[in-house]
Amino acid sequence: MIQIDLSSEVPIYLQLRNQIILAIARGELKTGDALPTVRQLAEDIGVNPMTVSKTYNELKNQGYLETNLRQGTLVRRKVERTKKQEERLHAELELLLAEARLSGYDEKELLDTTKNILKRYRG
Amino acid sequence: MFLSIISLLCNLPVILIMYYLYKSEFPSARAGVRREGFGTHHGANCRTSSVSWNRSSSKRAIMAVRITDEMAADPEFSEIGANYAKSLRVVLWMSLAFVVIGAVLLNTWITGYTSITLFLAIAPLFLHVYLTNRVVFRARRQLTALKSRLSAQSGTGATDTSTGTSASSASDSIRYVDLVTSRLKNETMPKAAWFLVPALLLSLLWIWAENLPMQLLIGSGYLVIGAAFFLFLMMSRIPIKIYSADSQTNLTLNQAYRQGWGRYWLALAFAVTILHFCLAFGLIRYYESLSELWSLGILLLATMLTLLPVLYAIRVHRRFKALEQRLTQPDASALFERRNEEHYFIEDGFMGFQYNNPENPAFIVNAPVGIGQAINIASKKGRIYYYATKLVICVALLFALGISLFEDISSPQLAVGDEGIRIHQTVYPFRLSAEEIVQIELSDSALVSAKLHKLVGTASKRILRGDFKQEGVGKVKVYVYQDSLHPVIVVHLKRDSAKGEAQTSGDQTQGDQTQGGQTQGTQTRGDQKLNQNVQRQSYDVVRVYFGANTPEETIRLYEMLKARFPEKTAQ
Repeated sequence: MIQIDLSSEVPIYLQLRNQIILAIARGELKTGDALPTVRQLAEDIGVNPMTVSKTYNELKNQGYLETNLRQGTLVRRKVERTKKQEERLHAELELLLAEARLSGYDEKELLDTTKNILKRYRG
Repeated sequence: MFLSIISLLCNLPVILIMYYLYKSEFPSARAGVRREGFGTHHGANCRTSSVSWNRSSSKRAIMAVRITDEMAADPEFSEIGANYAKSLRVVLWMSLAFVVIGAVLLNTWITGYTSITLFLAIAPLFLHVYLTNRVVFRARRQLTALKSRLSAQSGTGATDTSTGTSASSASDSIRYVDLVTSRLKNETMPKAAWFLVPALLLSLLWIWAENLPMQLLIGSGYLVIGAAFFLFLMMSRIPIKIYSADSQTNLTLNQAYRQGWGRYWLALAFAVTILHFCLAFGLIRYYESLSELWSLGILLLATMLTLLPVLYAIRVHRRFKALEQRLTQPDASALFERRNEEHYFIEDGFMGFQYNNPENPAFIVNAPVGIGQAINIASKKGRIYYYATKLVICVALLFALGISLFEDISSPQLAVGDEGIRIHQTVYPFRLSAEEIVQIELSDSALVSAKLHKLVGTASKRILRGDFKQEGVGKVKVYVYQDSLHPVIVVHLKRDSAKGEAQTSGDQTQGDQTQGGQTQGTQTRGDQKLNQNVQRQSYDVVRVYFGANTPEETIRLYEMLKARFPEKTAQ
């Protein structure tokens, strides 16, 4: 299940991208699973098909999805780790941890929270 | 009698089905009946308002108003339900009374006037729809007002826009989408290509489409099949509905809904095709002369074929509701619903509730009352469809009433000129050149024994106007008053004499000599066959009957014709 907030300041295509990545990580979408067509998903969310198309293209570029002429858009078999991805992860994680520190989270709390989140994405 | 039967057949089933459907909107709203539940009862002061709300019922929304436990426990809720049931019963009895009165009146002198006949035939149904909608609108307004009052009292802030206060729209901007359901939602729907079958079958009728009524019949068939196909396509594009956090439940329910209604629209296209074949058969037979028994048989079959889709729609609706009740918990599904959805339904006097939500991209949504779907008039396509439908209904009604009123009030005029005869001031004008006219005569008994079958025209107890088929003669144009024995001008045309020659030149030339428009003697089988062959080759007019509104006027016109065409009026 994905959830899009149309009144959020985060662009819809970005929300959709994040939600699809979360769904893959949670195991709701498994490797090789087909995604709805651009038109279907746009109808169901109630957004312009171009928005969905942009999300799909970005996810393809980042290696999460692939296009199969026969089956449509599929979840990619294995997402390869790239240097660029590692750098981005590091930067985003650092910013997030910095914000948490400033909000008063201690190390134990942060580790526990991280472990709890990771539990959802096992397997 | 025939008209009364038609009126009863057309009105009664629709009124009863509508009553049944609308009554079930308030599942436990039965005045004077106490049931187990958590509803309250008005015992001492109000003998009839005793309504219960069954918690196990899946119908947690009434007329698109989501019912909270607090609402269900309120005495006013019970009262609204009881009043609703009572008002519906009153409307039902009123409508039934109108139908019966109309059917009785259709056996009297009133049938002499086509406009009144038409009005009596269709008014009860329109009145029933309008009054039922009034009852539904009132009940819904009362429910939203109650909800608004209770929300204000409990301080939840979720108030009603229909009462003038704004509601929180926080949850309106959230969209839940199940990716698996989104992808597979239309998998179990029938293939759209199936619609080609009824369309192609209907095309077969072009073989017999020799006349305008048949062409109009086929055209109307294409129109209905096209509309069914359009709604089928729109059905496949409705956004998915999320009932639960479980994908399997969402997929099952969304597929069941689309499969049920997709099959329904396809079945409707097939039913329309069969219905059109029946009507076409009736029309073909009508040209050949149709007995009243045949007419009644075809009418009964047509009524059944019209009612079957309605019954099928009820079945689809009930089956889906049962599945929904089995698979979902109402409170759980409410978590995923847009909170303010109920405020987007607006009232339309005749068309019922219309959905008007610019934030929802769907063209059609579930109808809040009754069964089927409602159009989202906030979308461009929805607006076009809604106004086009309304326009078509209004124009068709006004056109039919206008034409019949014109025929009732006006009196056809016969003008004689150098080029021939012109009949005007009627919906069925006619022009004759002098060369076509063979003989003109004045007859007192031209139509007394003539058996006429209406092809395209008006046939009431008072007047006969338009194209008719006269047995043993062929296609004739008739403009006469039936209510007195006026003299009638009979104009024999060239084809009439050609037919006569064909008949007399046959081996068996017994009888069927038409003199003064009256069939005398009996036709032999050979003559009839020959006669039919001549008529099949051309349905052109062979004779014209004209009678003015007074005998004096008819005689005056005949004298004019005599003066203009002395050689053709000589006996």
